[in-house]
Amino acid sequence: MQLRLPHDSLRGTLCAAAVLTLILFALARVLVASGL
Amino acid sequence: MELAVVDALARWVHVMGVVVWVGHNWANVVQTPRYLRRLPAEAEAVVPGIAMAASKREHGIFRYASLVVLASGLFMLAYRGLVLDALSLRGDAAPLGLGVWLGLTMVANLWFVLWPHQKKVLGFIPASAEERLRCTRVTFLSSRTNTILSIPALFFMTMGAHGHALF
Repeated sequence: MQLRLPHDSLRGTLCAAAVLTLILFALARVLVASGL
Repeated sequence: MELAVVDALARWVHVMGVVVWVGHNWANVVQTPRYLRRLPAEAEAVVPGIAMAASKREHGIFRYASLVVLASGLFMLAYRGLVLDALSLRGDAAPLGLGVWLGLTMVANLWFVLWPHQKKVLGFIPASAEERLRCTRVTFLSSRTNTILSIPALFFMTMGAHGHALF
């Protein structure tokens, strides 16, 4: 039986990357809009 | 959606495509011939030593490639007078700054998390079987983390310079 870890998949990697990109994208928009 | 936004996103996809495509070429053109050239005529007798040497060279190349990327990136920022603005996520430099921080995290992850454990996993330095097994988990997670971070890093690196329509 092959041990398959929760993060051991390309789909998981891409999903995590997509979520992180969206969160940071929102942060970047706030930072640019605030002009700090 | 504005065409300028599509244009900005196309640049991200473009760079990611280049990484996958050219990365494949470089693996074949640079990596394979350079490693195979080390093989002697009677390879089987000295296989462990050859595998170790090839492995050290391979890991050295990508580790030091990260420093080339870091140095060239910092140079480009300094040349434009953007180092402080980017690092402090100030105003218009915020998107690029996020990319810079992601890149710095990846370099630190590679050198300070992955490498010390990878040395044990690959047998570059002696370690017990249990310790090597423990380290495989750390290197797996460290490597996967950098793969995840590379995608938003490429997004912010490219968008920071060319994606003003998005912000």
